[in-house]
Amino acid sequence: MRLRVEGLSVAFGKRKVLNSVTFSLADGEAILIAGPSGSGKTTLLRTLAGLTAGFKDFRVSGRVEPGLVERQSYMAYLPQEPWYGIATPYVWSEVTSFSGEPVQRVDEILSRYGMSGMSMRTTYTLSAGETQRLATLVAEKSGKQVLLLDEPTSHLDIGNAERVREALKALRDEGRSMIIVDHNPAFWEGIVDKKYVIWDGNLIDYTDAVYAEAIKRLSALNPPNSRGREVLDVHVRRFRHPGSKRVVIKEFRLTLHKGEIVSIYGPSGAGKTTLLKVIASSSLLPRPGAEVTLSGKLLFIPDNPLLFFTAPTLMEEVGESNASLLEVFQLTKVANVPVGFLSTGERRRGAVASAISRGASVILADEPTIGLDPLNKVNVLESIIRASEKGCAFLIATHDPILRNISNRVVDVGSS
Amino acid sequence: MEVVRHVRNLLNIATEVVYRSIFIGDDLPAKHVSFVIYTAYASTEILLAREGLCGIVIATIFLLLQSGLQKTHEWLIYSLLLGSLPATWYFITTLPFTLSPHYSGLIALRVLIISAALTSVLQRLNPMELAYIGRRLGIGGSSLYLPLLWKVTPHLMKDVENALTVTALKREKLWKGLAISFLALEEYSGYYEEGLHLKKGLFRPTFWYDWSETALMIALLTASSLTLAFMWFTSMP
Repeated sequence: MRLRVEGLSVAFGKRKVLNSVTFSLADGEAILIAGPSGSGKTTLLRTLAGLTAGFKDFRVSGRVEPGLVERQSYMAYLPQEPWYGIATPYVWSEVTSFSGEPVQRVDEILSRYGMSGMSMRTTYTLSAGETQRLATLVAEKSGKQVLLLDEPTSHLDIGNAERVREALKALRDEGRSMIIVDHNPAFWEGIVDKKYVIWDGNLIDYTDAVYAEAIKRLSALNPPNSRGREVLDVHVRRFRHPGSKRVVIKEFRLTLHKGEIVSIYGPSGAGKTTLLKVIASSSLLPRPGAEVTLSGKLLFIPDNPLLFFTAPTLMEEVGESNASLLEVFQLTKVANVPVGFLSTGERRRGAVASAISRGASVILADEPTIGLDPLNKVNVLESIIRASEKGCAFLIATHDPILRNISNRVVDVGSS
Repeated sequence: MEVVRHVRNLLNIATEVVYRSIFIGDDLPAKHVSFVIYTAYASTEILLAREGLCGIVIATIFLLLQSGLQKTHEWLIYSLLLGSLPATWYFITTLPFTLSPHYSGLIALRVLIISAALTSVLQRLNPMELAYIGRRLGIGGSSLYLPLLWKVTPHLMKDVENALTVTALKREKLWKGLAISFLALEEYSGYYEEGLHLKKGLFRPTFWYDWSETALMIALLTASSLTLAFMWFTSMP
């Protein structure tokens, strides 16, 4: 047996996160753990990997075998945002520095993960899918026998997610063990041997009922009806980053109407985020190659929604006079909580509420559902629909298929 | 106003090109020459630039030779463009004291060469070389910090840029965007600590030198050193 967990309980201060969790993991076995955001999935992985040592008011009881030092020697932890698991600036340096493999073998190793010809690339310029594959191959090459994967496909489009899944399947077939935390158990069918869910701190066998309510609400979502005058007209003829030879955007035209939701799809690295940024910056300062005609106010919500806030709490962000907005977006309870302590879902909804309170007629939103569980996702999407019904138009860069349910139009930027 | 806008756009582009060449550009053979050679070469260029107009012209030729032979001319153009900012500043601020456009011009040109020479070292610096040297010197795990800094910088810069764009669109004060960037930075440090915790003990940096690029740089360094020695020798009383 590679890992045995018996009666593991974890508490932060007075709040009990995990309650007598028991399971085991054999060599070559893969298990999946689902559960709503904040249920303790990530806490379980962190505890197993010994990442909670410095946490304040953190109490652990129960038994985990083998002990921490031995566990850490054969465990690899791959965080939800894969770039936080990459330490060096170049692909070749990440592979050689952590695996002991010689530079001459890097290309051959990369080609097995579909990353041929990328050894000299900077790790920063890799797409989320490529970064995830790099982190996985480094874990493999460094001889780690147990992989702890925290939502390994949440930042990936379907093509990249499938590639990562295949890579993990190959590792499992080689005898590596893995614990996968994810909100989409169906996706891991055929790879995982057992499925669990953490519910009220308890680890129980997974059933589809866990996400049934949220999935029902998600499938019931529809695009808003409200459409009116033009609020944004964009024509980006050509855009490339200074100093780079790659043209990221070429001949992009779009007209957005009042209350309309338009989603931009495309594989990682296709230029979706760049497009939003070019539109946002061109609305501030005209730039060559881009024409932006705007009627009203335009706001941009980055993929990290924390960066949207300019006030310490949501109440200050929207202003006392708009406090009712927080109720509409189900944020009343956290209205006076510092934004740094809000969950990602709360931050995303808070950012939309703030944008509405500031009279935005157009909101550019970058990956508004990334990393959210189905329940949080449905809350964010309902917030977007509510905002569009108030007349706000949305241009959304996303790889999440569920956004199609609420979009009046979908633009596919493809690979060019 | 149109001219000011164009100059501002040009300087923005220059900043981005230089920044990208240091942190985001692919790893190139030019980044596989020892930083000691580059530092020595830049030092000879700076010393040459101190030798009057003739020295400045020769230093410029060496800068051009390096960028031409290493096929990094775009880096040089934008470094010079960026260097023109302090150079112009020096020209304007020294003019009331020197009362000589010629002399102030020389000062400005010297500043331009120094700035381009220093930027060229940064553009070619490979953090993996320093980490590798650190490992050989027995610094071990601490040698991870420089590559990590190189890796994290563009990530942070992207967030600062996003926060400032958001702040401008919201018509809020600039410092509010910077404040939230610092909060994001604090979060990131925790995420990186977590993501890399189990990898720290495994870090064994490696590096290789590109011998043809190294030979080229040694030849240039020899030429610039001999030229400098000759200028010093001939200017002796």
